[in-house]
Amino acid sequence: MKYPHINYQPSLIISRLQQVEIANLKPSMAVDSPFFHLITIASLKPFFDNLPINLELEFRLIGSKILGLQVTRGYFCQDLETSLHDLVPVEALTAVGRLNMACPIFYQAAFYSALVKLTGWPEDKERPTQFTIAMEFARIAHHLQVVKNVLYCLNLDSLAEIAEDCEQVLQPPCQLFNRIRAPGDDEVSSISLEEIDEILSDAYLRAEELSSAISFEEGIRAALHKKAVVSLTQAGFMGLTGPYLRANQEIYDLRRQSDRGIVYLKPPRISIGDGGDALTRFSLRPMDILASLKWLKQMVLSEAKASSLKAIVIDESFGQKAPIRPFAFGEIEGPEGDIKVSMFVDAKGQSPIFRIRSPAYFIAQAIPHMLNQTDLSDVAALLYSLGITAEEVDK
Amino acid sequence: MFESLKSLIDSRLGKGIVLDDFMNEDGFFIKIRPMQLYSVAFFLKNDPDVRLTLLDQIIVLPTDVLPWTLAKLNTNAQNEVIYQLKSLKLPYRVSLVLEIHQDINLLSIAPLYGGARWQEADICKTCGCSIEQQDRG
Repeated sequence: MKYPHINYQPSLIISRLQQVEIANLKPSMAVDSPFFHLITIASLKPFFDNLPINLELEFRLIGSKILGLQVTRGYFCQDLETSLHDLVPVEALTAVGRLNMACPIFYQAAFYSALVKLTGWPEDKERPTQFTIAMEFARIAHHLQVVKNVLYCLNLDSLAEIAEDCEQVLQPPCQLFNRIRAPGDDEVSSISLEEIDEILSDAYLRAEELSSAISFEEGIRAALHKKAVVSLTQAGFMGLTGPYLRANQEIYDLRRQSDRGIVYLKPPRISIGDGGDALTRFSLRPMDILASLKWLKQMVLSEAKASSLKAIVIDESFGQKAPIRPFAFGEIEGPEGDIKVSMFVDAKGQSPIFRIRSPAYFIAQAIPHMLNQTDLSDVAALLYSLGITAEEVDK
Repeated sequence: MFESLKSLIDSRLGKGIVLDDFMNEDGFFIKIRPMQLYSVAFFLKNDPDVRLTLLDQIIVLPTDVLPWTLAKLNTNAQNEVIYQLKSLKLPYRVSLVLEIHQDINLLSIAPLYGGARWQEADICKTCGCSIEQQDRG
């Protein structure tokens, strides 16, 4: 990779140091670990062993063409579902965010909505709106990160810098809303509507510039057009949702289904494309960014009676109530597909059993199909365009 | 859209396949024998009135959790496996529930739902049961 000093995220590898550190951590402390960062593949891979806690790809090649591919999973978060059972709800909410440290809010929102249904927890009526706003900021941040990584990978630095500028502009609200906070959290807990409005307007201009530049850039087209093609039938066959369906003109989005998880009173515009290839899926990202920014602007206008938007704060008593039903599901639309948390209790009403559906798991499983017959030189950009992390795969 | 999945399966695949069922806002839940998993999954995916083309998740639970109102039919069963299927077009879900134990051989549904492959491997590790691949010869 040409720019190893740039912190590409998400990465598919973590170092031995991190593995030892994380193996010794309790789940609730993981988010405070100083070593809990992802490291670039290219600059560090030669210096670390192929330990089990990796997402390794084994290629079979003829020349530079990939003819066969095996994905070997690691065991990073494999016990997360089990360890959640031993935690009180608010600790479990923090732990489940480990699955994606850049945007914990998605998994936390799915967990939250499942637990509210399971226990019949009396919900603050502003809470769903807070979650939807938080998820849209997180969605924008995720898409910008993936777009930036792909652009740097393709040596399109000037475009990547536009994405980075947009990220910088949106940093205050994205940092504020990207995860659930505890009461007494020392960080800033709200941001004024005036400031958010200004940020959104600035970000929208930059996102429009980025979207327009991407659509005319031949380098992106050459790298992604008709590569990693997944048709609608194949997407369903492999359990792929989100952009894999929308890139085949299928308007399937959990934000339009009001009974699944967090309710969107009126969801953002859902973008679709045609072709099912990596280019179409990549092109959906700037469209989703613009749609989310526009939706957020409308939400800010509608919240005019408040003076600020507040971070989501959940106190320690949350969810500590006997279940009112034997099981519940919380499903939300993540940026890469459906995220679902399932909770089951037995007749004695003991601490629930958890199961998590992560879209990254299915995407990783589909990597061999996507990279089959691809040139080796295209692999890096295609992998970065997937937007997944090893933790989500090994949940 | 059909009102009773059990009635639909009884009429199209024959009675006695669905051992127990119930429905709530989370969809239809039907209990079947492990040996009938593949044929029921094939029907649910391909029948034009059902078309559950997306495998959402495969979940394994110990039978002593028994979250369902479905009856426990096999006293030797150690685990329940729940195959959750979705339709892209219609807003309903179906969960196929099977009781299994170590000696049971399940037939893989990976030929129908490729996304099942890794999940089935995880089931084998968790439950100690084996999953047979289809003979494509």
